[in-house]
Amino acid sequence: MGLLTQGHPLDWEETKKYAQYIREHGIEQFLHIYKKLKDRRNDCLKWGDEVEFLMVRFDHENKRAQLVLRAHEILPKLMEPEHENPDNCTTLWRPEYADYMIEGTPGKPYGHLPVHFNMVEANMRLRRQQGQELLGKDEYVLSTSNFPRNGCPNFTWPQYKPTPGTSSSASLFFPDEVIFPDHPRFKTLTRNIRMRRKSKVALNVPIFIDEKTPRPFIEDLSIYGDDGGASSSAAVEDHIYLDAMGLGMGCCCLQVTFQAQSIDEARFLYDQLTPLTPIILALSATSPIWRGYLTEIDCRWNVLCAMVDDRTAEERGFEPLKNERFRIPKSRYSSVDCYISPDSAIYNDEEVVQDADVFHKLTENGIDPILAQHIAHLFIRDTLTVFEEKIYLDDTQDTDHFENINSTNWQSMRFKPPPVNSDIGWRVEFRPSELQMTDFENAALVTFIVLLTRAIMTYNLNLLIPISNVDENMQSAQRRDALQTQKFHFRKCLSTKQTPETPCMASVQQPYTQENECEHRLMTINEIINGSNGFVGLLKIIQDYLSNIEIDADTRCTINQYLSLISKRASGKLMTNATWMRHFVMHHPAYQHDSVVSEEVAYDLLWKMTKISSGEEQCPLVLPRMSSKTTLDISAAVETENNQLEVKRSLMNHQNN
Amino acid sequence: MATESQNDAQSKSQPVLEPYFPKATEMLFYTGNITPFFKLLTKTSSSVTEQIMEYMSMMLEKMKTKAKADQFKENNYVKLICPPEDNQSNAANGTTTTPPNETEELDRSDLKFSVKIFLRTLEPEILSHTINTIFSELKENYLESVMIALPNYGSLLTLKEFMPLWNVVEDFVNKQKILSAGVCDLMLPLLSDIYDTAQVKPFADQINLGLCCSIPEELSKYVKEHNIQLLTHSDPIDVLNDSDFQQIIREYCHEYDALNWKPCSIVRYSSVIANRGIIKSKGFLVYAKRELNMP
Repeated sequence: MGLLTQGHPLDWEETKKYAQYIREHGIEQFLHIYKKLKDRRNDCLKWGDEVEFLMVRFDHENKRAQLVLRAHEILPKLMEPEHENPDNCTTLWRPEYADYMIEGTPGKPYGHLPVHFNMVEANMRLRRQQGQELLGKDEYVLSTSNFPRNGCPNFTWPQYKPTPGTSSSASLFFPDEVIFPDHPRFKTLTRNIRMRRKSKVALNVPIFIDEKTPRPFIEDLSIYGDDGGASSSAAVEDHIYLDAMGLGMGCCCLQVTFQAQSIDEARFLYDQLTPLTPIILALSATSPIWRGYLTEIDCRWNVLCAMVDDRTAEERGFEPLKNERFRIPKSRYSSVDCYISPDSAIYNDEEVVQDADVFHKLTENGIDPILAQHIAHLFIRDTLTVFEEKIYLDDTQDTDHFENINSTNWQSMRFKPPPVNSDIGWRVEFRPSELQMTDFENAALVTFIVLLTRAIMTYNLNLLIPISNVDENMQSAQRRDALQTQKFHFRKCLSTKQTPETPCMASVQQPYTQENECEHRLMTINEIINGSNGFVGLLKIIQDYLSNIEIDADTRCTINQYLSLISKRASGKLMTNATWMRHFVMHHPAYQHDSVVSEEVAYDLLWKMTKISSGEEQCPLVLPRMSSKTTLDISAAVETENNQLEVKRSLMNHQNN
Repeated sequence: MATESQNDAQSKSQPVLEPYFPKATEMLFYTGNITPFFKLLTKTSSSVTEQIMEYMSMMLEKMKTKAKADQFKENNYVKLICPPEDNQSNAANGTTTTPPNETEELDRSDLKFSVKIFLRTLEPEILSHTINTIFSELKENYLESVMIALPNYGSLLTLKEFMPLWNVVEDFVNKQKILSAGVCDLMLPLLSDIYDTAQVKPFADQINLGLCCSIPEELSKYVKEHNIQLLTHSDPIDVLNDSDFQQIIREYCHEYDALNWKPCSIVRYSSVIANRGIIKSKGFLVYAKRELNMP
């Protein structure tokens, strides 16, 4: 969602002038937070998920599904409980880029009790229901990353025609009216990204070549309107051309945020989760169809990277550097470029473009070089939105300028300092996951990730591999059927080295890897998750962790279901959403084997997904038949025990002090 | 999975000429904290039985190489304990990344201890001795949660046999040494009989879910009505039997050292950092007895 400062945004020419100002004050604000809160310790482990939903309108008579632009109408109602009773709501809602998107989170973060894992799915279901209640007849809340015909003619309700000559994106496909209207941020970002870049954003996604796909595949873009030839020169044959922020930011994702105990633990978690970002991306793949065509990709990630890419031609390396400060290899939406804990330095094997002044300012003020590098890298980016009411701030009280830059670096992980004047701690956001069509699957992914972090911290595991290999994995993960066909770099031995001190423990040691032996190798997702003769498998580690924790039967049952889903998907017994969608399209009687996903085919696909997500229909290719025992109620027994135990323990500790 | 160290292979193969503990009629194995040495097994799950036997092997092997020849010769009660220094060698030597919770200082109030006692006999004195041993070896003043598991999953158990055991536990609860106590694998009607009779009510019943996730309807209803938590485990019906126990000793020691031993109680304990779900320590104790015919 990002920073939703109210007020009047400046136009681009004015905004540009503040680039250095925002940069400098953003760093001041960070330094202030760091000094004040670097020693903050939060005793409780807290975490929560974020789900972005689509709203779709079905025209059953004409067999057509359209994105319905009602977020601006229903969000105020969804947000009422929060305004009336902020400390006591079960769900929280926020707007997102498009007027067909609503973003929901649990009202309170989850904590350390195992029973919380049994609540995730029920809360997601509740959010879906809350949205659904406010929609009209034939309108439905859906969870999937990309609406298959996003950007096709009349893809929304109400219908609008794109106006490339005057809109903020200048897109041939995405009208301005689709952008969430009630907050200036989104249109402003759209326009300013294009102005800074000095051209439209553009990406060519390879089309999936089927039996009857025209060869070469060349779209006649002139039918979409005139943008002075910009699109025709940017488009590439055998590819689908995308040209709007909305085609990327209008995608939905699933995120998990952790509050760590300390800044050190946050940095540790950030690093350990980084090698998992491509793995989860591949497991959650759900986006094979773009602008109504089957493509060679299964994920949204690269599309998003390109659709908010504000780099100029010089920065992208297409022209010699004259006016810009740096050549920048990646978009401000991208996978992370470096690890951020001191011990991880040896794995940072890619050059990280940094603002040298920022770096020096940070290190002069006591920040270690690794963290300074991370921040200095984020701060190479210019501000994209400045609100006239919020330029002159008290840097000791406000973090808007820092957040201005931090929140417009959209990376696969995000490191989040505490807000001023709160008792929230240092946090880490896990951002790559695609959004699955059912609450069950989304809860399974979230549970898997959280349990992994617990196991990593319990057993002192190390998952790090060179960051360049993580980047390679991110690319592999997005390819069609990556889960089944690709191999990924993964660390071979996850336990940290221990010096054997006694023969007693000697046989428990892992054999050291030889001096020059590589610490990682290529593995399939199946091997990474389910293990093999040569590798323990992430599920085994989690099971081991779970066997040492007191878990109530219902929660255990639910977790077993989730882990079984992950296991079966990794082994190929169950399909990813993306594979299933391809399967559905290709077996649809109206599909012409020409890569085109027509309105009718898309309508049937989306209607089927709607019924699967409500439980009305099964989808045995993707989901197991049994459902979990998820519920929002923590049983009285658990509450009682937990309360009594806390009382007793504090009595004991009081006595012993 | 373990590649045996050379020492281990040597120790095993050297002939043992005399028994190490000929007079011993009681024996205790205590592994100390094994969490830092999480064994990332590449074969499929090792059971709790295999784990315990593996730790016993290591401790016996260490005894052979480090102990003085006649250290245990006169002992009636042999205690093999992994000294705390050995387990604390998880200092940062050679770690590529040091997770922050290793270097933090933890208070007792940050931790929550859970203990499961697998009883292989119904004698209350054994339970009593076991619990006292836990306190003295772990050096803790109190434990948050203790679960009692009976022989055969308690299947032929009567209330009359069970209550003396539970009374032992109640005693510890009343002295605030144990904060919560529970039972394992008990079904109705025994569970309700116990609940009605006991002064200290069990806070939980820990059952083996198996793979089918089906909890008996009756039991589910009962526990809800009586505020008993239904927890889960995947432990076997007999964690360590006589012949397994004797066999391990026989592999490292003299034939006579292995004679007649019967494990009476096996304990698995763990401590968790209370608000964060991170396991801090875990270990096992095995207490065994035997009768000897020699004067």
